[in-house]
Amino acid sequence: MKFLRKDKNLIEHYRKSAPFTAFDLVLVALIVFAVTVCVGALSPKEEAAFAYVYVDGREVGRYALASDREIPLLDGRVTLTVSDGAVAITGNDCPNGICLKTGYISKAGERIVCVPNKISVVLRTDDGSSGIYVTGGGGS
Amino acid sequence: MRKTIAAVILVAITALSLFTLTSCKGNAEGFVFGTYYSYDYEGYLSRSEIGKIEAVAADIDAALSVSYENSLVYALNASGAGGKITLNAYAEEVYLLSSEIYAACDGAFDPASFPLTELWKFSPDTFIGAAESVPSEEEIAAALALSDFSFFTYDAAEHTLTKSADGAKIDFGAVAKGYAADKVFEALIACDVKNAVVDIGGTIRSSDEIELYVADPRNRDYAARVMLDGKAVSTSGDYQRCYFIDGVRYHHIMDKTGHPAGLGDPNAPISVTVVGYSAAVCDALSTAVMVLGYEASVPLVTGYGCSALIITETGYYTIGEEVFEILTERQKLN
Repeated sequence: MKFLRKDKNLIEHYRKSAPFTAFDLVLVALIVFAVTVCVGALSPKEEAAFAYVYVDGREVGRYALASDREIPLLDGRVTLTVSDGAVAITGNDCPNGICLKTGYISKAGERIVCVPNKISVVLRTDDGSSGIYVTGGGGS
Repeated sequence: MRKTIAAVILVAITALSLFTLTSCKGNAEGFVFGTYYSYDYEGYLSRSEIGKIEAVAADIDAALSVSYENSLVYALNASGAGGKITLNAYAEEVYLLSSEIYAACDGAFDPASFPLTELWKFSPDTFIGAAESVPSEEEIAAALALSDFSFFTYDAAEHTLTKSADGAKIDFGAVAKGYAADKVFEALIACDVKNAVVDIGGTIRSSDEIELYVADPRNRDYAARVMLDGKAVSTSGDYQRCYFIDGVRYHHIMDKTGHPAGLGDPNAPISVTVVGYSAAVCDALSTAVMVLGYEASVPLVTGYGCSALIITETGYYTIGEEVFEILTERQKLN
């Protein structure tokens, strides 16, 4: 009986209370913040999501690595191929061919460069981060 | 009162959450010095700041390019004996640094070796190299005679560089990318951005820790990994600007005999990565070490407070304190 009386008091207390107090909102905000931080911390930093394509420094396209496809660039003189979460330049009429030798790249931060046609293909994560950096690929 | 405190906390937490979600990452891409450049940062840059930053790399390229007809270097190279240029601030700083490193490595890094670079068909119009035959020893001797840094006289009071021999040519390409990376980096930092990383053709300067991979000189893979913490890095090698004749590899870095460095030597460096605090110094040293080889490079690299990873056909050497995690099967040689 004592418990019942206590329950009744509690029920009465919650009936009279405001549905949300200011501190309830703070609690919700704290939870949102904690989830945000955790998601950020747990997200894989190197998993490339998009291939950003630049011609002479101007972004001309952004392609999800999740969808296999062939993308013609520069009126079809250059072919970009997305396959199995990786991307490569698979056709190019430039004389150097360094970009063709680079093959498929799949890590955020990796890039394929065609200097004669001024094309850069850069992989980035969902949030646009570069992930890794590479030295020794620039022709020094 | 409680509601006021709660409201303040609520606003603060919401703002923090929004900042975490939308922490502004920026980047830019372009081409200078016959290669790509990019920079990444966190923060906000106005259009005018972006314009100033991009002008830095373009101005350095415009002053030092060997192929741009209006550049200072082009004008000097095109002139005969007695030709003189007035150096702008960038060109003067690059000249002085080049002179210092030229002296420190006894000419292994030589900005005046452009006649040889052209002879071996690595001039800007055939940047990665293209040839069906190698030059004769007579041609090499003639180009070597012109490849002398002492043909260029600097006047500190007048800020001029004067050439004293017809056919002598200068090329700051082995230091210019690094120098530009430093200058672009400084311009970025001056704009109060964070996590700034400048990458000019694989010569990189970073304000914070980044995960860096060294391209493998012989495979489509990575040779090493290093955590680069607020430092700079540059790599030189024999594997991109090169061609083959009768199965022999000829690359673009010339030694003091006028031939591609390490030609025919299985123990010669095929890739050199230098880590330090100045991208310009790392850039110049990586070229010098390609010419000098491991032993002669130790005092040079450590003297500049740098570290190096030297890869040969048979293994690898390291110099300095930087920790290079080797990712491919190679034997440590020191």
